[in-house]
Amino acid sequence: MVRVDLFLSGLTACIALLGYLPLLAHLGLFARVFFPAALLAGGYLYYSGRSLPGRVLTPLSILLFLYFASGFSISRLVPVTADLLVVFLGVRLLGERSGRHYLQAFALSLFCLAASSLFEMSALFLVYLFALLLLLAVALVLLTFHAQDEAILLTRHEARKVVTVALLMPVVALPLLLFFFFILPRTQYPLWNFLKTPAEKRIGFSDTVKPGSAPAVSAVKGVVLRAVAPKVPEQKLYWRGVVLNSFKNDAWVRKGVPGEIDSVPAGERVTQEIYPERSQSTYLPALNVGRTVSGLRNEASTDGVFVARRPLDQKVKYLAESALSDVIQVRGLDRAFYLELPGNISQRMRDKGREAAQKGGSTAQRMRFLEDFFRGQRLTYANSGMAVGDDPLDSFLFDKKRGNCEYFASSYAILLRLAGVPSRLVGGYRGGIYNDIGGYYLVTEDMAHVWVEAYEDGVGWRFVDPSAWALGAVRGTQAAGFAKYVDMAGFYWDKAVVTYDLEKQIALVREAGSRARNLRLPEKSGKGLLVVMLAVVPLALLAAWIRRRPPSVEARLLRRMLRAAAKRHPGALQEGEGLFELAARLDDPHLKRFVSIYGAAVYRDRSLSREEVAQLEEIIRLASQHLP
Amino acid sequence: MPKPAKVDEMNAVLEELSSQHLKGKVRALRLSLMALLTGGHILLEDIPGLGKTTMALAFAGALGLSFGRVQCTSDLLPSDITGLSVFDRTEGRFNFIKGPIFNNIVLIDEVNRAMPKTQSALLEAMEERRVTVEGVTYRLPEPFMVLATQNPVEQVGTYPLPESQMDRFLIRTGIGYPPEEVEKGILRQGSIRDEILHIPPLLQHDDLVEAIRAVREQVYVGEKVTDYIYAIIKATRTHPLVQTGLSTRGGIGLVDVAKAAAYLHGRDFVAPEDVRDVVHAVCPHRLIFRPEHEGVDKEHVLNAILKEIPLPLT
Repeated sequence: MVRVDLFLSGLTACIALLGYLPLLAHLGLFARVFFPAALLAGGYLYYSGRSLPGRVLTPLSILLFLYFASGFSISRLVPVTADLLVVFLGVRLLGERSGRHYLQAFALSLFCLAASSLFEMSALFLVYLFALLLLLAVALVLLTFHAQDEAILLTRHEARKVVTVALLMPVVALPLLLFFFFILPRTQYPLWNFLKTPAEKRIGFSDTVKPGSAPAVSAVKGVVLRAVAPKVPEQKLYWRGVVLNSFKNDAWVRKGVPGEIDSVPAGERVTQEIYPERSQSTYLPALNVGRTVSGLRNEASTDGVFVARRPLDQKVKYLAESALSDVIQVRGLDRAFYLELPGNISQRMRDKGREAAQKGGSTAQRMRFLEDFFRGQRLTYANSGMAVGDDPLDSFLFDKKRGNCEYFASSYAILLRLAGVPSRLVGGYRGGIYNDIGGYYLVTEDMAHVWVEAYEDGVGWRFVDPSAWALGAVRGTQAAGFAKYVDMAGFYWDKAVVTYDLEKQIALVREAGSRARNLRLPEKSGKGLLVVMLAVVPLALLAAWIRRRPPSVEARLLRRMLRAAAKRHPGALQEGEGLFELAARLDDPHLKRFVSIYGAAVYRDRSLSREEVAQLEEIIRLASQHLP
Repeated sequence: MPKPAKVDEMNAVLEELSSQHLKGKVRALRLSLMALLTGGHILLEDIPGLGKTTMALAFAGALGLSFGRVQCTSDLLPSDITGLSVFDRTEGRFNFIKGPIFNNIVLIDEVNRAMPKTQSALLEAMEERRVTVEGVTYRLPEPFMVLATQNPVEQVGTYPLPESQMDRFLIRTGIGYPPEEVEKGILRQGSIRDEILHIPPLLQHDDLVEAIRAVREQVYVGEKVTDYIYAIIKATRTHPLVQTGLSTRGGIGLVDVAKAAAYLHGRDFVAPEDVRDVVHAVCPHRLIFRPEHEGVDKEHVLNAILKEIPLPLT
């Protein structure tokens, strides 16, 4: 048989030790010695079936408090508190073992452990914390048995079952807790993504564009950013991320922008508050064309690209201001730079470029010619069965005629350059799901897009999206109903919880702590302050007590009697019941005697006589001592 | 704490009646006794066949009081209640033959079937405690209580008592069906009407008179209780659903019945719960609701009012 009270006492000792040990190195000598002594003494008292009564422990606590309070100063706030917590924990172990006292001991142990984190924060803290949580779970379950019957006995089998079930709770809860509150909210890809082998290239934003590296791409619905912005027309929904202006190994890349000076684009101004998901990318997308980005340290280029100083590996937000314009005017364009060609271009493409240069007169006409050519080829927008091999663009344009935006934009830009028109690729996102409820755009990874800007003399960089010339180019589905609410909840979660920078908060607390430590009171005033506080606090308590005390003797007596009655008959007292009624219903002899004396005075309009008061006090004493 | 005079005897009668003869009618019996002790009258409102007459008979018998009964019909004349003078040829003069009202306890069955003229004669006698016939005034016996019954369901051919007349009744209550077990017992035993006619008096007449005096003189109504009663009266007068709240006579009645309740509890002072316990017997029939709220249950409104007013405990 297992004695639950014995088991519980043992557990409590362990829990108290788990509170004491992490603090041990930081305690004063007295507290350091007092706690083990109290633990042993408590154990001995318990073993011999005794305990120190409250009338000993309460003055002892007060004395100890005063002793530590005398050593108190602002600079020693934490050490004194820690000493006090440990000493009180020790005192609690000396006292009677009741449910309330057990709970107090548990709470004090947790406070002690918490206090230890004020001195140092090490991985060991987590070990202590987990151990404490495990033991507390078991102890709390046992306490429920103890509360039912203090002398309850369990068979070995039953005890094992109780402990197993009790342990199961924290053991299951802890990983779930970690998972739900620390890991899950802070990942940006679905956790099960690693299960998928990347047989196909993933579509998404990148700062190199090289069509033909994979025959298929898959669309991941990962969120890229959410932008709080007014609704803009669908055909203007291009999020400009990066401008690719040059080649490296036949791939479009970004090189330093030659010194061109842009002027303010005309068009409707739209301000967006953008919450990007975490990524390694440093480009800060904004609606085409971004003018300024603020709220995050960044470098702006003249081609409307904004680069953050550090990767977006934390949840951040920034403000972007854009002008919804199809044209960017610039001065001092480096034509040669924008007419560079990749090394490997097929003959068919060169011919087509030359044809465009010869047939078309002005830049606009050449562009028109090439557009007609694209439309005439009846190209299909697709994410699979795309051209690969030595010259994917040639294959895309003339043979397979299937490809995604990279093929369209890349081939069109090269053809433009072949035709003598300066051109560049713009990478970013096309579209966005507007959440009417939250008032923001949701941009996902599968909306990554590449389009083209062509330079027209006298006009500037013109926006062209060759993908729009594909057969049946339809994009963008609206999220509806429930999904919208779900995403909005996620968004606000990010806004309120994830964007909440824990490190920054900890740093702030540290700073506040160090400032508090450096706070120096004028000499001597520390002692004076302490004296004043010691005098004022009891006075304030006294005043509060007097204020709460009922004004008349009768009312005080009645309140005490009702309290005693509530203790004698837990839960039996009701609001709005008369005294005689109550006494009759509870059939309580003490209460009956009380109300007959009390009522005879109060309801006969006279004060209680001295003898009656004495009688009533005696009744109250008897009632509260001899519980039924 | 000294007990008021004769309270034990009174409670013994109640106990004997409710446990032996009139099972399941404790509340109605108690209220009837309270009415008798305070010199008021009681109106029993319930369907026929629940033992109103039986109760009245047993009550009168157990208290050793005389009993009279009037069955009201639409052609009942005032003189059928009060009595009339009959010429005695041998003596050569008119002799006054007393009507049924000259009894201690008078059961007026189905008071709403009598025509208003008779009703008002009856109510006048109840209030004045005397009857004037042909210029001669006769005092009614002491104690005197009218126990009127009224059937709340039937409406055809009745003259319902107007609210102002209802005010004359100190207490209005129902009897209600007896509890299941008790009713089964009654079904097994059959009617006990005969048995009741032979209940021996449990009380001397002097004891009853003394008890009535004790209720009137010995039971104290303190300031706190008066305040409580006044708060109730005031709340009925200002309640939005109520057109006319409790009158002062209603308030006096409340105090009287509360005194009787306290007396029966063996106390010589009124506690607030005594008042609260009798409010439902004394007050509802005195409240007149606004016409648009006539359908509202008066008990509910009273309950709401009572809930708002805390019992004075200190």
